[in-house]
Amino acid sequence: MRFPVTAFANSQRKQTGTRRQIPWLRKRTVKKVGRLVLLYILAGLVVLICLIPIIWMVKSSFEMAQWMRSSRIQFWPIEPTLINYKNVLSNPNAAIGRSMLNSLIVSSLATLLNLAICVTAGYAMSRFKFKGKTIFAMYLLIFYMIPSTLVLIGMFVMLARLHLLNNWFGLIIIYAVGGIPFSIWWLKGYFDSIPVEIEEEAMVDGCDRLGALWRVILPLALPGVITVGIFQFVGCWNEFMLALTIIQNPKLQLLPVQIINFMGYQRVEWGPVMAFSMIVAIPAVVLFAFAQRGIIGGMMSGFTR
Amino acid sequence: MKISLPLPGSSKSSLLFGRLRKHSLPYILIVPAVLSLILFSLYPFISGIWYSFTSIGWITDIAKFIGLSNYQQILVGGVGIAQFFGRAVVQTIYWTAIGVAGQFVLAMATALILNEKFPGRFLFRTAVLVSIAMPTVVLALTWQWMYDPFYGLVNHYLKLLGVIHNANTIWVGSTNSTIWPLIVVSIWRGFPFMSLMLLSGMQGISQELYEAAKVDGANVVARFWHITLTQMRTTIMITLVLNTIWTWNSFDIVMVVGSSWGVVASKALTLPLLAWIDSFRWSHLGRGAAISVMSMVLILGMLFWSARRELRSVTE
Repeated sequence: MRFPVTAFANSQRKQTGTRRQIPWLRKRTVKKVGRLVLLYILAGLVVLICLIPIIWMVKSSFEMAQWMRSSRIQFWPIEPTLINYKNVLSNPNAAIGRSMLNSLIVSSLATLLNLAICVTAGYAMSRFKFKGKTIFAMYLLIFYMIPSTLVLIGMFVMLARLHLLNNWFGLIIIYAVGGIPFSIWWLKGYFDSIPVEIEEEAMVDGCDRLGALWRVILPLALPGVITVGIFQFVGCWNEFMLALTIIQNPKLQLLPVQIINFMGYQRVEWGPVMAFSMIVAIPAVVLFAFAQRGIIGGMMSGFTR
Repeated sequence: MKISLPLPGSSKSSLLFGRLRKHSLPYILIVPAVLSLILFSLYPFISGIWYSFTSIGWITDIAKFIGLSNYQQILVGGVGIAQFFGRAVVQTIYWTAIGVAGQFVLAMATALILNEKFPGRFLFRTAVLVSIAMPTVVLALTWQWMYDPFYGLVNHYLKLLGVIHNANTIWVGSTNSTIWPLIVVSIWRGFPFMSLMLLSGMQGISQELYEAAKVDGANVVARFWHITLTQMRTTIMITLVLNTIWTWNSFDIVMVVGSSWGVVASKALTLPLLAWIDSFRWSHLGRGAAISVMSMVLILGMLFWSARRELRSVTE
């Protein structure tokens, strides 16, 4: 008996409700649309600011030399061509294959070394309380406030005394160490998000602590570790100042410095330089896009702590 | 008797070892990180400070203690390196203050947009991330090309807008070029990453606060001012301090965009770049270290000074 009555009452209320709500609803949709329009305008502006130089680079890399020196400015190539890429790839002065291989080797090894150091340290920071933890954490923060030129001068003399100048070994270590604070904070965040019970169970099953870290926690944290690794790799891949300072032998030089060497000191041909830039930038952008979600998520957890 | 003896003994020792291991495990785990930080960050830093008091010029030299002579060279008098230093101090302050302020305004706007839900958000996020991923050198070169006096984008549009009358204004790379075009690049370079830092603080604010304020009739501006900014106070402080230090110390943009290799544009020179050039191009490692130390003292001093005022206003 009760059911149909309430149902009826409900339907009636709904009807009268919608009839009365129409102006209110309109106001609300107008507000909603207005918000979206405003958002799109603002977002469009920011996207434009972000992308104009990048689009200009892409456009220039596909442009013929004669059109580069024209007063016609547009954001797509006037006459699309691959000649700049051909020029860069075949030019022995660019040595793009060799320097790319160099960059790949140095960045990968530095990333692996960095992860090896930071996974254990991040785990310790996440799971243990120990004396000196606060001091260590403080140093990790202070690390970013130390001016890089000062460290670079001390490092340069030190590497020279160790005969590690002009040598990838020194560069790999510096890159790996340079990323330590960031990687440790980030990995600590990932380990924090894994419940302690999981490794306690593993330890009951007969693993010791390190075994639990290796066999249980690490596989669980793997997406996080890969994200941190990608971030570190891209950082090394993009690095310029240290490579410029420490490596003088052109055969050992890395990609970012190689662009400058290729550019030369005379009148610059921007087409091939932009094509070279594209070749350097694409791996970094692709890797970042691949790890996008993890990077933004990691930032979120990393900085709020 | 003899058979039973080793058993308790060994179990005791393994117990002891286990206990030791349990206590030392965190130390074993952080030892690689601590050691490499001491060897490759703390030691070079301290030795760098030491070199600023020595006569070391190039790596083959012996570092002889010469007191404050390097500091005297950069601070006293108005010619040579002292002139460069004086100009660089002023320019570094402009570079940092205006650069960070610009970054902050754009980053805040970007973070507010990133925090909203709207269709197409994914594309927006990608655009921001792509500009973070780009290598600094590549961007610096692209900007140099955009600043090209004859065929560059910047001059073309500024001429269209009527801002400049000289069609072939040289912005960067000459002996007369200034720091301002470089600050634009620095703002462009820095704000996307800063927006992610700010976003992390923004997402920690509970939605209920906004709902409550809405019920109380607060408009968008009031909500932004009283909730977003107040709740993000700590994040904003940390972000500003870190970015101020990073911007102060960064010099790859100044170097790649600003100098056309060999030309030292003295009106577009910041302290870290001057230190780098002095050390590695002019072979004055000790004096370069002295410039770096002065640069560090300046920025930390200014930060503490402003932080002290901040602290006082909080405690009162």
